Amino acid sequence: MTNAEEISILDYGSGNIGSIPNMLKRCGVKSVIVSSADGLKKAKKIILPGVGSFGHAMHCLREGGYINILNQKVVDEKIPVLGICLGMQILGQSSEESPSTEGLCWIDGSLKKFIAADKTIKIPHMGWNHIENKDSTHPLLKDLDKARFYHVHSYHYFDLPIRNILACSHHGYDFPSIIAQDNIMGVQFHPEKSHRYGLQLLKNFANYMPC
Amino acid sequence: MPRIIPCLLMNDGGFVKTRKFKKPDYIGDPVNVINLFNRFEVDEIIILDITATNKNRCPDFDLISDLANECWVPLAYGGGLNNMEDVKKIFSLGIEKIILNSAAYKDHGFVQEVINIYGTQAVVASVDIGLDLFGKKHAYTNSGKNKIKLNYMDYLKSLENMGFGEIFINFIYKDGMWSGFDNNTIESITASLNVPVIACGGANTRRSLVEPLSIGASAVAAGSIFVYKKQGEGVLINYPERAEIEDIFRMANI
Repeated sequence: MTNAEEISILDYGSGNIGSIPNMLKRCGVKSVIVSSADGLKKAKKIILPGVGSFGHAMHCLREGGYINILNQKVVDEKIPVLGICLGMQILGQSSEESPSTEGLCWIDGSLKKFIAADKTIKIPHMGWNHIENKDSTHPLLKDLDKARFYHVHSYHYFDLPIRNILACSHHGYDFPSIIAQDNIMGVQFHPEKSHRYGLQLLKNFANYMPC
Repeated sequence: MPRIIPCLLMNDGGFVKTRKFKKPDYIGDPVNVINLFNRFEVDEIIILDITATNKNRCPDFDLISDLANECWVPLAYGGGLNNMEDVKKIFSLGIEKIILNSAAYKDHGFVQEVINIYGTQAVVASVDIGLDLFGKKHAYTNSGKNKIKLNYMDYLKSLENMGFGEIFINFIYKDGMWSGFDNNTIESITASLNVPVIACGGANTRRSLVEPLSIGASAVAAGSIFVYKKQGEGVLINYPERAEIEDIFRMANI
């Protein structure tokens, strides 16, 4: 086991978190699955997973009473948080997928659906894809040169400030696949299913020290 | 990026390999096999329980849970899924995608509910293409036992319209035969559909994997070539190295 802080994986009812604890175990990082707002009070580091739709995920967070405590931990206390896949998307403001739903609004950006220029571009974007690092000095990207990750999604950020984009993937065109704004980080792909590359990324998050 | 997927068949707690969906030959303990594929850093793994539906039993949740824990690449599971409760359980175990074959044909309401909750990308339709006595192609359910009356291409299109994120097509007459893919049929299918197609059945060499990819398949799956040393020889779990895969993609002009 490393000295890294225990990671709280939020299980708020939006899809499978099954393989995230397993991957963290492989990294030698302690994790705990949290499925109540109270359980987040002691969190030092959070992983926010999610599969399904933007609206459903936000609905689950609201119904579970997580919004206030998440804002307190992430915005006020500034503990590190990593959104994975849909968990990354809800860090933003809104998504074409669920137009009437507001996201967590921690990051200045919104999402739109992929536009397929021709038939070779399939939606959802599904499968392994290389990432292109935009900011290789960021601790989340340590030892991830020429890495590839497993992506499954139909929506992507399109209007993020460039400073928040750590890496892009290409599916018809470039889109942000790793984003960060101080303690708030997100990956569009699934590190927990991206064998050695995912292992490295989760290790980097576990070792991430807030400035 | 296209995917090259080992397709592993589960039968009574073990992995087997069939020929034309018959004669299951024991391959090995599932957790060991997954562990070996982990080491090869495979792109994705498909696991199909080939008897669950016909024996009318639910998925082997304990075994699937062990496999999901062991596997560090995306896992798709199919076999015996026909109700929301079991689907929910499967996803909670860490399975990325579920595969519906018989239920996709029989229960559209169930399919819609799964897609609404888990998203199109998590739900794969599986269609087994077989030949009738006159050599005519049809889609089949129930592990090749029940023939669908509808023209198979119309059936495939209906699945696309239902919102499945991918369609996995397995060719019964190619299964385990090492006789090459049915490229003509694969090409006509990929030309008619917009959803990603996974083609399975008939791979005889690693080189042959290039063929479905070069005619529009988004992924290619195979059993025999990844679990046997050679045709007619013993079990040897294997998978191409990354450099070889890059070569395959280059040949397919991808």
